[in-house]
Amino acid sequence: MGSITLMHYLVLGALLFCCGLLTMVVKRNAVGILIGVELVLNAANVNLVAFGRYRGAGIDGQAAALFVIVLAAAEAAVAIAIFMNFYRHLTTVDVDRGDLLRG
Amino acid sequence: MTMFAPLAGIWMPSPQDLRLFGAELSLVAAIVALLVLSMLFGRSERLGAGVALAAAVAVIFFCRDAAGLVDTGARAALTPPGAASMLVADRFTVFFKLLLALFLATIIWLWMTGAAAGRTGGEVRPVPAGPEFFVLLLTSMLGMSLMVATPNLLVMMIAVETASLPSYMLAASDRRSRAGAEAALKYVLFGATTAAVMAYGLSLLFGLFGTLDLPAIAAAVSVKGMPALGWIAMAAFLVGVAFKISAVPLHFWCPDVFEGAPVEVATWLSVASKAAGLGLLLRIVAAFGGDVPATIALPLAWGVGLVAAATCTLGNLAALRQESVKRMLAYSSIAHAGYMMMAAAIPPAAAGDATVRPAMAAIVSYLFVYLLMNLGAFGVTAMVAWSQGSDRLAAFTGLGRRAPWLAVPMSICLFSLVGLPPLAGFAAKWWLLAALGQGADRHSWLWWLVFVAVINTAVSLYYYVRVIRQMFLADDERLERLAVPVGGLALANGCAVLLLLLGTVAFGLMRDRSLAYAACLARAAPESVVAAQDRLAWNGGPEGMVVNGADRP
Amino acid sequence: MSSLELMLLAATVIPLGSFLLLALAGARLGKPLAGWVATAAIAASCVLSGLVVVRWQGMDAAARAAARSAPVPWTVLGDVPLEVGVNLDGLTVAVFFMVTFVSTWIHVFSIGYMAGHSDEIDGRSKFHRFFAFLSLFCFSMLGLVIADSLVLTFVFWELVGLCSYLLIGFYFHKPSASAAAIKAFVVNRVGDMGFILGLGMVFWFLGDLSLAGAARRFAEACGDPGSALRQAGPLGLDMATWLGLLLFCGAVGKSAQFPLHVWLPDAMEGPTPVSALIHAATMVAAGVYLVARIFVLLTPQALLVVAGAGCITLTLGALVAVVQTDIKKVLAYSTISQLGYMMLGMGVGAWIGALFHLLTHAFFKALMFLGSGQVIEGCHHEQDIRRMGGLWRRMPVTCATFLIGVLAIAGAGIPGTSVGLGGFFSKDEILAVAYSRVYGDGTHGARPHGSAAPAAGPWAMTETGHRSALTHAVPGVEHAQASAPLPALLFWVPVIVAYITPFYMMRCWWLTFMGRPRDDHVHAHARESALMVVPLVVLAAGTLVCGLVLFRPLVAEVAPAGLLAPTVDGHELHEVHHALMPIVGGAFVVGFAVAIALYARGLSLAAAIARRLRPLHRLLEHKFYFDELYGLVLVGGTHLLKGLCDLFDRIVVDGIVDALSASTVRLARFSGRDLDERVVDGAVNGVGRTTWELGGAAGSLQTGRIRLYILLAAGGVTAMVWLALAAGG
Repeated sequence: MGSITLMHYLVLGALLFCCGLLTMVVKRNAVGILIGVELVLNAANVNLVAFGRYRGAGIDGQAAALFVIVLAAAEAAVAIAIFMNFYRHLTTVDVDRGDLLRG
Repeated sequence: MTMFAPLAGIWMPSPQDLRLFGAELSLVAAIVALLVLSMLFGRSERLGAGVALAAAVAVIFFCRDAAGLVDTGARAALTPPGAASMLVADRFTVFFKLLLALFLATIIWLWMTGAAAGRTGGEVRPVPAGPEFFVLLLTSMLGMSLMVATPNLLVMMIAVETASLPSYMLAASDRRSRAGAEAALKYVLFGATTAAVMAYGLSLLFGLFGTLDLPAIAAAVSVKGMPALGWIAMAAFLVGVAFKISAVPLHFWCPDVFEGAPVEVATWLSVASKAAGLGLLLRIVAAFGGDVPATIALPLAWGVGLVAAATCTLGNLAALRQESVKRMLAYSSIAHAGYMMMAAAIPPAAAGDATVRPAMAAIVSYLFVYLLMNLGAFGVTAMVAWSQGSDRLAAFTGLGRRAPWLAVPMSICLFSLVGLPPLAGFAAKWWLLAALGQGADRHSWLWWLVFVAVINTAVSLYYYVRVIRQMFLADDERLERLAVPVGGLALANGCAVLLLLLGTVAFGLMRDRSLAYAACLARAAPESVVAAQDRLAWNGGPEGMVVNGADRP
Repeated sequence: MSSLELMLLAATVIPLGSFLLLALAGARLGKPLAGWVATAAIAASCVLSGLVVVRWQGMDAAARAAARSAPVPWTVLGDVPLEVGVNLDGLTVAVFFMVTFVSTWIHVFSIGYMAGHSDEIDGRSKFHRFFAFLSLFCFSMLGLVIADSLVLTFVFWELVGLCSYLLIGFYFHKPSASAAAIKAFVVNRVGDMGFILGLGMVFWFLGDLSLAGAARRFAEACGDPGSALRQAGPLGLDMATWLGLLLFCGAVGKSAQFPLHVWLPDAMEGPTPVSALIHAATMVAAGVYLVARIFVLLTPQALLVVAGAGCITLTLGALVAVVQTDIKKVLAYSTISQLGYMMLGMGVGAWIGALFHLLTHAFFKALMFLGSGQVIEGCHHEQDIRRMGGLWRRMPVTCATFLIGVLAIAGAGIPGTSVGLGGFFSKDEILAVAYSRVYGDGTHGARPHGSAAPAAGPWAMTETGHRSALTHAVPGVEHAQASAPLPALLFWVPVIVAYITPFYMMRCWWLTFMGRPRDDHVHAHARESALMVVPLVVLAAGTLVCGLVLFRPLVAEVAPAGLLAPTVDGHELHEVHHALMPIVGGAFVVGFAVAIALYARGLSLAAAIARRLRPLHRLLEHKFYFDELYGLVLVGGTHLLKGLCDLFDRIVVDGIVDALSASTVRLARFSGRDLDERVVDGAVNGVGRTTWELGGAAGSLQTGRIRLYILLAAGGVTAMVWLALAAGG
C-alpha cells in the first residue's frame, strides 16, 4: 500500500454517505437521525477537500467545505430547537411517535 | 486616506450592482432592523408586521428599479471582473422577486386579518407570536430570492438552506400546537436529509468538473460528455431542488407540514417555496439547453418529465379522499407543481430555439395564476377554520348560505384550480398544454405528458367539486351565518376577481408579459454557456479522473 | 385612439360604472335616487354621443377615416390574432346616438313607472336592481354597437341576452314572467348556437375575426374558385352560404324572426319600459344590426333566405296583431312585423332602407310602448283594449303622442312630397328596392340603389366598404343569381301588409283613446303622470324630426359599395315615392279608414265579422298555433324519441343481451355471474372505483413515519434515475 490517493478519500466519503443514510433510516431517535445527516454532510466535505487538494483549483474546494460546515451547524441548531419543541409536547424524541399527521 | 490604501486593490461592487440587488439588501436590512427594534421596543407583533410590510414594499420598489436596468437581457452582477458570477439579475429574477414580495404582502395581510379576528372574536386560533415570526418569514424570502438568482451550485445550496431553515421553524411557530411540533420535526429531518444528499452531489460535481459554476459545467458536459457518476451526482443535487418543489418521491413532507403548520405558513410555503424551487429548476434546465447535445439534454428532460408525471398523478390521487381541506389543498399543490414541472421537461432543441420560450412563459404565467388561486383557496379555508375551529370538509357545510362572499370566491378559486374556462386557471393550463404539444412536434413522448395532464385534470375535478358541493348543496338549517373579517373578504374576493379578469380581459396581457420574462431566461442561458467555455478549470476533463487513482497534488 | 373613439368608449363604460355602483350600493341609495343615478349615467352617455354626432357631421370623409385608429391586439388564438377596437363609422355613430337617446328617456319614464309599481319581494325593494339591470343592458348594447370584431360582438350579444332574460323575469315571483324569461333565453340559445357555429366557420375558413378583416378574406376566398369556401356543403349550398346563414341564425333568434319569433310576445311580461327599450327599440334591432355588419359575408342564396324569413315574419306579425286585444301584445306583434320589414330589406339589398327603418322604428316604437305603459299605469294595470276607450279626455298628451307613433308606423305622409313621418321614407324605401330587384331596373325612373351595372349584385360587392366606397368586382364570380330577379312575392306580400299595418295600429289607438269609455272603473281612475309625459313628448318630437334629416345620411355613407349611388339626395327619394305612390302611397289612408269604420261604434261590428270568419279568427287568435306546434314537435318529439329508444332497448338491446346472457350461461355456467359483474358493472364503475382505490393507496403511503418517508424517497430517487437513464440514455 503506497501513498494515499484521491481514490481513498472518495471511498471514505462514499462509506460515510452510506453510513449516514443507513443511520437516518434505522434510528428512531431524532438526534440519531441528525447525526446521520451530519455524516452525509461530512462525506461531502471529505470529497470537497480531497478534490480541491488533488485536482488543484486553488482553495475552491476548501472554501466550499467551510460553507457546508457552517450550514451543518445552522441546521443542527434549528433541528435541536425543533426537537426541544417536540419534546415539550410528547416528552420524547422518538420520531415514530409523531404519526398524528398522515393519510 | 492612507488608512484605506490596503483596500485599493480589493474589488468593490459598483453602485449599479448594488441597485440590482437592492431587493435582497433591503430584506437583510429589514431583518436586522426588526431584530434591533424588537430589542429596543419590546416584542411587538404589529411592529414586526409593519417592518415586514415595509420590506415587501421596498422589494417591489427595487424590483421596479432593477427591471429597468435588466431590460436588455441578463446581467451578471456583484462579480469581480474575470470571475464567474455568483449572482445574476435578469428579468426572470425580477419576476420572481416581485411575485414573492406581492405574496409576502398578502400573507402579512392574511396574518393581520387573523390576528384581528383572534383579538375580537376570542376564538382559539393559532396566532404566531412575536416578531421572530416575521424575521423568519423575511429570511425565508431572502433565501428564495437567492435561489432563483444564481448560476453557482454552492450559492444554490446556501440559498436553499437559507430558505429552508426559517421554514422549518415557521411550521412550529404556534408553540401550543402538537401538530405543529410534529410537522416541524418531520420537515426539518426530511429537509436536512435532502440537503445533505444535495451537498454530496455538489461535492461530486465539483470533483468531476472542477467548478461549481453551472454554465461552465454545462459547457464542459457539452464538449466532453457526461460520465455515469455525473448523472448520479446530478440526481443527488436535484434531490435538494425536488424537495423544495415537493416533487415525487420527495413530497412526503408536504401534506404533513401543511396540515400541521398554521394556515399563513402553509399558504406561504405552498406558493413561495415551490415557486422558488421551480425557478431554480428552470435555471438548471435552461443551462442545459443551448448547445448541449441531446445525449445529455434528453435523459435530463426524461427525468424531469417522469418526476412531473408521477408528481401530479400522485398528488391528485391522494387528494381524492382527504377530509381535511387544508390537507387536500396540500396534495393539490403537489399536483400543480407536477403540472408546472411538465413544461420544464420540454427539451430545448438548439441554441436560440423558440420552443423553450412558450414552455418557460407557460410556467411563469402558471405560477402567477397559481399564486392567486392558492391564496384565495387557503385564505377562505383559514377564515372557515378560524371561525369553526376546524378545516374539515364538514366545516364548509352550507357555506353558500352562511357566508356567500366566501363561498363564491372559494368556488371560483377551486374551479380555476381545476382549469375551467373562463378563469385564469384555464388559460394557464391551456398554455402549458399548448407548449407541451408544440414541443411534442419534435419529441413525441411529450404527448404522454399531455395525456397524463388531461387525465389528471379530470380526476382533480372530483375533489375540488366535492368542496363546492359541500358549500352549496349540503346545508343544515341549524348552522348560523358566519361572521367573517372584512380583510379576509377583501383578500378572497380580490383573488377571485383577478382570476376572472386574467382569464378573460387580461388574457393577452398575461401572455405577453410572461413571454417577455421567459424570453430573457431562454436567451441568457446559451450566452453564458459560450462565455463559460473559457473558464473551464479542469483541463483534464471529466473522463478518467475519478477512476484514475494516480492523481497527485 | 382618437378623441371620437375615446368619447364613444367612455359613453359605453359610464353605464357599466353605474351598474357596478347600483349592484354594490344600490340598496343604500334607495328608491328614487338609484333610478336617477342610472339615468344620469345614460344621460351622460347620450350627451357624449350627441357631441360625437355633431363633430362627425362637421368632418369630411378624410377626417372621418383618420378618426379611426388601429385596433389594439388582445391575444392570439392559434394563428388568429384577436384585436379589439372601436368600429367608428356613420352607422355606429347613428345607432349609438339612437340607443343612448332612447335609453335616456326610457330611464326617465321608468322612474315614474316604477314609482307606481310594487317592487318588493320578501320585504326587500328591488327598485335598484331594476336600474342596475337597465344600466348593464345599456353598457352591453353600446358595446355591441361599437364592437369591431365578431368575437366582441358575440360577447356583448350574449350580455344583452342575459340582461333581457333578467329584465323579462324581473317579477320572477310571477310564474308567467319567469316562464317567459326562460322561454326567451332558450329560444335565443337556439339562434346563438348557429351564431357560434358561424363564428367557428369564420375562424376556420377566414382566419380573421375582425369585421373588416373577415370581409376582406371572404372576398378573397370567394374570388378563388379552389378555396374551401366555394365547396359544396349540405343541401346543395356552398360553404360560403352556410357561413352567412349560420351567423344569420343569431339574428333570427334575437330579432324574433320566423321561426324563432315565439319568445317576443311572451317577453311583454317584463315591465313596460323594458319592453320599450329592449324588446322594441334596441336589442331586438341588434339582429338587424348584425346582419348589416355581416352583410358582406352573405351570398345571394343566403340573402334570399334572409328576405324569405323577413317576408314570412312581417306577414305573420301583422296578421296576428289584427286580433290581439292586449295593448302590449299588439305592439309586440307589430314589432315582429316591422323587424320582418327590416330583414326583408336586408335580404333584398335595401341595406340603407333597413337600417334607416331600424332607427326610425326605434323612436316611434319606443314612443308607443311608453304610451302604452302610461295607459297601463294610469288604468291600474289594465292591458285589455276592449275595456278601454275614450281615454283621450283623461290622457290628452298620451293620446296625441301615441297618434304620432301610429302615423309614423303606418308610413303616413303626403305622397309626392317629402313631407311625412318615419315609416313614410324608410318602409317605402325598402319596398322600392324590393320592387326594383323583382322587376329589374329600368322600368322605373328611380334607381335608388344604383343597380345600374348587372354585376353590382351583392355577390360581386364583397369588398368591404366600411369607409371607402371601394368598388371591387371580383372577376368570374358573378353568380347567375346576382342579377336574377327575385320572386314577385317578396314585393307584393310586404305591399299588402303595408295596408294591414295602418289598420291594426289605428284599431289599437282608436279602441284605446277614442269612442265611448267601455269600462267606467278604468276610465274614472285614468290619469297621466308628469314624469312619464315628458319622455313621450321628447320621443314624439324625435319621431317627427330625426328620421330623414339625421339618420339616413349617416347610414348611407357606410353602405357596402355598389348598393347605392354614393350621394343620396331628396330628389332621388322623391322619385322613389313618386314611383310607388300608386301602389302604397294611400295605404295608410285605406287602413285607417277601414279601422275607424269598423270600430267607430265599438266592438260589436268587429265581433260579428269575427264570428263569421271563425276559423280564420281562431287561427290568428292562437298566433298560428306556433306555441302549440313547438310544444307538440319538441315535447312530443322528445317523448317519441324516448319511446323509440325504449322500444329499441327492449327489442334489440334486450334481445341481444338476452341471447348473449343465455349463451353465456350455457357456455360458461360457472363464470357467467362473475363475467356479468366484472365486465358490465366493471366497465361502468371500474374506472371510478379504481381511481378511488388508487387514491387510498396513494394516501396509505403517507404513514406519518418520517423514517419510512426517507426510505421511500431514497428508493424512489434511485428508481427515477434508473428509469430516466434507461429511457433517455
